[in-house]
Amino acid sequence: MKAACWMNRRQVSFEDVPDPRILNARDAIVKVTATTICGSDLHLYSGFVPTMQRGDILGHEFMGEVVEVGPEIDDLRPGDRVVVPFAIACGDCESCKAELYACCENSNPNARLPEKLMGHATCGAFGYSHLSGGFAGGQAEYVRVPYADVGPLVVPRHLSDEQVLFLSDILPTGYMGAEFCEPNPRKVIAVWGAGPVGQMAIASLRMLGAERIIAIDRFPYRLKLAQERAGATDIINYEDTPVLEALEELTAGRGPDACIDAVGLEAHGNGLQYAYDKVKQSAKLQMDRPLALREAILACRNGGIVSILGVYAGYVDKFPLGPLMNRGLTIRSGQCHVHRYMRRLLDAIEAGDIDPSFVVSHHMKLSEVAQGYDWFLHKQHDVMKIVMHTAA
Amino acid sequence: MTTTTTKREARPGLLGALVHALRPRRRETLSAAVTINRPRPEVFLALQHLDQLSSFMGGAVIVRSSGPRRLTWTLELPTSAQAEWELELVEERPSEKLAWRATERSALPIDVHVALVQAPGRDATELHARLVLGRARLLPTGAAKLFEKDKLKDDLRRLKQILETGEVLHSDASIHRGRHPAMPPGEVHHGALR
Ligand SMILES: NC(=O)c1ccc[n+]([C@@H]2O[C@H](COP(=O)([O-])OP(=O)(O)OC[C@H]3O[C@@H](n4cnc5c(N)ncnc54)[C@H](O)[C@@H]3O)[C@@H](O)[C@H]2O)c1
Ligand SMILES: [Zn+2]
Ligand SMILES: [Zn+2]
Repeated sequence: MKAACWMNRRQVSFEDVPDPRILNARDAIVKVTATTICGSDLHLYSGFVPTMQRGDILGHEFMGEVVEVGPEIDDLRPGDRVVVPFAIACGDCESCKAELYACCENSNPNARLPEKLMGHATCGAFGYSHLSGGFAGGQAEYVRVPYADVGPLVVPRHLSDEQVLFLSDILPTGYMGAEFCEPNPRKVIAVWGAGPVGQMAIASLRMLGAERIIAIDRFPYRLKLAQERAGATDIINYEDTPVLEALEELTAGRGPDACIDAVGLEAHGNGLQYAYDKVKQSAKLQMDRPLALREAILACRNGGIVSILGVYAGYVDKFPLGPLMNRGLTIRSGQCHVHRYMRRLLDAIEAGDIDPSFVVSHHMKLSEVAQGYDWFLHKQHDVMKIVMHTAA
Repeated sequence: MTTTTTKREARPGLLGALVHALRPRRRETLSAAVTINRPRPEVFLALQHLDQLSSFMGGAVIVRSSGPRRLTWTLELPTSAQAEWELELVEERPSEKLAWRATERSALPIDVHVALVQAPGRDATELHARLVLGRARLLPTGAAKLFEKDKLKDDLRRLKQILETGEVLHSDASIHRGRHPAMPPGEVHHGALR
């Protein structure tokens, strides 16, 4: 089969690779019909996530058709149309039973690596480095799906790929980040990053009853989408407006009641802080550039909530711990517990309460994946979400 | 214990080269613990039949029963040599404790103690394992890795996986070290980045 392989920093190519096989009794093999590139893939692409190996198959947002199942799988059948969560979860451990699927204790065969780096092991994930188990990803014609009795969600045929594909990651992620904020009509909530994750967070906040939502980014086309489609009430372009001042103005001095970081470790900025982080990051003294997160903490109202969806890889500098502690902020974060939200979000899509397909900006063939990464990284051609299709 | 034997096809000189004088010179204790989301009696029962769960050792070691209360552990070394040791179950307190001791045939005395404790407020099991390695003679290089904390933790993690999910989960990369099937076949592998 053909698959998108990580060859080196900023180098992805569409290669011939062996077809995946069933390795465990609870596996399924899925023939991918649609897949997409996530902001998290950009962190791999830019070389900020350790333990990538040349040739590793990328991709963790995908859907398709079941073509084969392992002997222990009886609720999925060849021919079923499924969306697969990016996090791999066993469904049996204490974390899974508590619906903290992205903290699954059994799904990472390389648990020893993240345990050393992060203190405790993290879950397995598709196409997300050997730290996450070395699982082949779904930017491929076929993919092996472990614990297929727990992850894949069967989706009805009358919904389009564009409507359901994002159940694999960004819609549940945005929704989780919105839920973290405990939204209600009294709250003003600010969202850093109007990328696909930020858009999903804003749309979810709207669905959950928030009425004042402020989107922050520097790309006018993204801010426009946030306002016109996702449901932001205010927008701040940080290239021409100082964010903290604007937020103070918009909230009459209180600061937003909750702040969502939908930016992550490749945050961009203008000032000295950005230069400082960038130098440290390229010298590998620091894995992350937490610019947006710092700003979110400083902006947040006393006693407010900071919801971190943006991915970070390691340890950071100049973290505003004093402001966080002294002003009684609550931090909520995590890789998304996708499984927890998929069913209810599918119901919301079916009921017409939310339609995540508004973030689709381009369609490509999977064979054009290298171009997709390049455009998405550089935000060229007003790119938002590129849906890649395998040849029919 | 560790007795080292060579398969018939192995050349005699090979083993000599392989056998490094090795630790532990002194008694050494390794310990690790894991929480298993199964009730204690079930975990206890599984531990009484470790020969049926060999895969928790990660493939390189086969555990089989070699008599009542006796288990033989066989480590296949890449050089077609083997290391073998036998443990006898010497203490058994239902749902609480198991202890094994290397039999008299052993070159390396190993005591293995396992204590089971109920996790706070729920029907899950804390498994605390302790390996006491006695004064060793010689241990083949490959075998030394078995007696490291990281390996012990990995073994416990796999045991947990089997008891919670039914089997040990693999990725292509976890089965095949270095080059694995989930990458382009013709590509030169450059190893892990960073
Ligand atoms: N927690 C999870 O489970 C989860 C799931 C998916 C994605 N993510 C993470 O979410 C983040 C966003 O993903 P995405 O797909 O939307 O990526 P993206 O790159 O398209 O979006 C990031 C956006 O942040 C903006 N930005 C950069 N610096 C900023 C700053 N200082 N202030 C405000 N905005 C800034 C960029 O202009 C861009 O529009 C990534 O870090 C990704 O890894 C997390
Ligand atoms: Zn993602
Ligand atoms: Zn689990």
